[in-house]
Amino acid sequence: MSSEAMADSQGIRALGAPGEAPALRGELSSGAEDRVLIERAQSGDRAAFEVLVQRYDRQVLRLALNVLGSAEDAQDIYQEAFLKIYRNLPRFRFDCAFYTWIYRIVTNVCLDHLRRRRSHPEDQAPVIHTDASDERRSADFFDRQQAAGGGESNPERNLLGLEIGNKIEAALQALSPRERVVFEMKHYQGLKLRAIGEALGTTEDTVKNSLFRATRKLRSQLSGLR
Amino acid sequence: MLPELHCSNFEDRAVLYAAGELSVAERALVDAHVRQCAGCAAILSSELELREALASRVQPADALDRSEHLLAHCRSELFEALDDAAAQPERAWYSAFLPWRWITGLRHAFVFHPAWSAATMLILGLLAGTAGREWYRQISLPALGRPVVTISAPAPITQQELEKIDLDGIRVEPQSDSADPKVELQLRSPKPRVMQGTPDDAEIRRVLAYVIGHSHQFDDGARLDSIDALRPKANDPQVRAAMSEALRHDPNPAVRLKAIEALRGAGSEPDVQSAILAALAGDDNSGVRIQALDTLFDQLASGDSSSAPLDDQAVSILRDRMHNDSNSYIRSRSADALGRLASLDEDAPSSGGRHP
Repeated sequence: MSSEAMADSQGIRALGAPGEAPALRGELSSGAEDRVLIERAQSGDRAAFEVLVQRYDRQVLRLALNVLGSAEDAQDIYQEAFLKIYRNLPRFRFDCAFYTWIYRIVTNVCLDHLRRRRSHPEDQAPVIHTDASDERRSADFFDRQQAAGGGESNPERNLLGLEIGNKIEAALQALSPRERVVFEMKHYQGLKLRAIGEALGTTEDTVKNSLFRATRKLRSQLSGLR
Repeated sequence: MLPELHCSNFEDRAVLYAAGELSVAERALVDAHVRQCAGCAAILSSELELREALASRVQPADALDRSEHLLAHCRSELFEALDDAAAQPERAWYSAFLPWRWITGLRHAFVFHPAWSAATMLILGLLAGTAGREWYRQISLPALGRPVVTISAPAPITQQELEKIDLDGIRVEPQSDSADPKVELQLRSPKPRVMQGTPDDAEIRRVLAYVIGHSHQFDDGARLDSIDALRPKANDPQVRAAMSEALRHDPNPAVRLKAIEALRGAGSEPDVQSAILAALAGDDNSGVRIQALDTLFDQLASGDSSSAPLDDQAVSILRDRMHNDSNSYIRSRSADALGRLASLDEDAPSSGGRHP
């Protein structure tokens, strides 16, 4: 079985920007290998646990960074999630895929964080925007003119790209915590709806409805772009 | 299993199509439908465009951790935390109640959350500032080796006790409405106690009046505070007498001035009038004499029929001040007062021509 087929068989199909290598492809090794590592970690083998962490933590951090948009918050999520995973690992009974179990913990931590952020926005670290936006924001008018004149790229196109990027960010921020997580896991992590449902502890139909709602909201907010 | 495809449910089907959630057969159905239906074809096209736009977004993860330094940092912190956890011995259930666990926890919380620590320090500072004074007062009283008794309804104090009273402090708290101020008397001896109430309480009034009239026993601050506290009760005979006594004999001119101000509303009473005239005639402080004269003049100007008429002694004092006072204001103001008296006499049909 190829690694891509294996990923698909586990409910994961990495998506992302066109041309981007699938994020999880190659990250997932066979379930049997995971099982050995998990059993060793459960019996107290720290090295085995560290291997497991390194297999899954890239995606965990990506999820946290994309959903929360803040390096500081993402670090907190990473730490909290993996400490929970470590503490609860002895209770893992192989009744679901290990990545599903990890995602269940990570998404719960993310959802808690997003809900806290909604109820106490003043306590949160500022959301960091993408580099491109920051560069554009920090440059003054003359810098932008100069960059536009001297750059090889098309300034109108850059500006349009920036506007689209900002609108997409704003539209994603407007989603509810659950819709935000579902959308992120579907569109940017490439998980199947069934796998998202398992991670969130809900049915595939419920996740589907969350995806429909999120898509409708995004379509309505981004309608002017097309 | 998805329901049969119609134009009415096409929008959701387009979402699943674009998200790659349809089987090969289901995708073929969608493709066939859009070939026949322009409206649904537009919906699908719009959905695919939206997806393309979303895919073109620079993901925060790429922008924030392109070089994976953050990932490396997270791993290192996590493994460090795991090392710390492994280094700690298995704790008994009761260890959660051990004080150093709490102290360590607080230390970690404060180190990593400077805002919390600043807020906590601020709260502790406020508590120390507000509660500390009260606490100090409480602990300073038992220093004499006697128990402290706090009495909201003051117990009667005998005359002998009054003569031995040693005041630790008087606190007067004005009320926002026109109600009488709250008064707290902290007595050190004959036995440590705190009396709380308002000037309406007879016992509070009695102690304060005693304080006003006994300059040799109480300091200036206590006497001034007592006058402030009793100002609303200046018409009470006991209070009036104490303030008149202070006006005549208190060694501190500030106390005498405050006593005149407090007695202004009761100036028509003979005993008060007598004290005011005495101050005008003999007080060595010109400020007190001016205040006394102004009070007298106000009384004349108001034409209060209930006021005791000024007798010959008052006229004589005013004449004396008019001619002999070292202060020019008092001399001229005394002349005005005498003129006012003369006009009052002319207006009165039964006047005997007593005044000039």
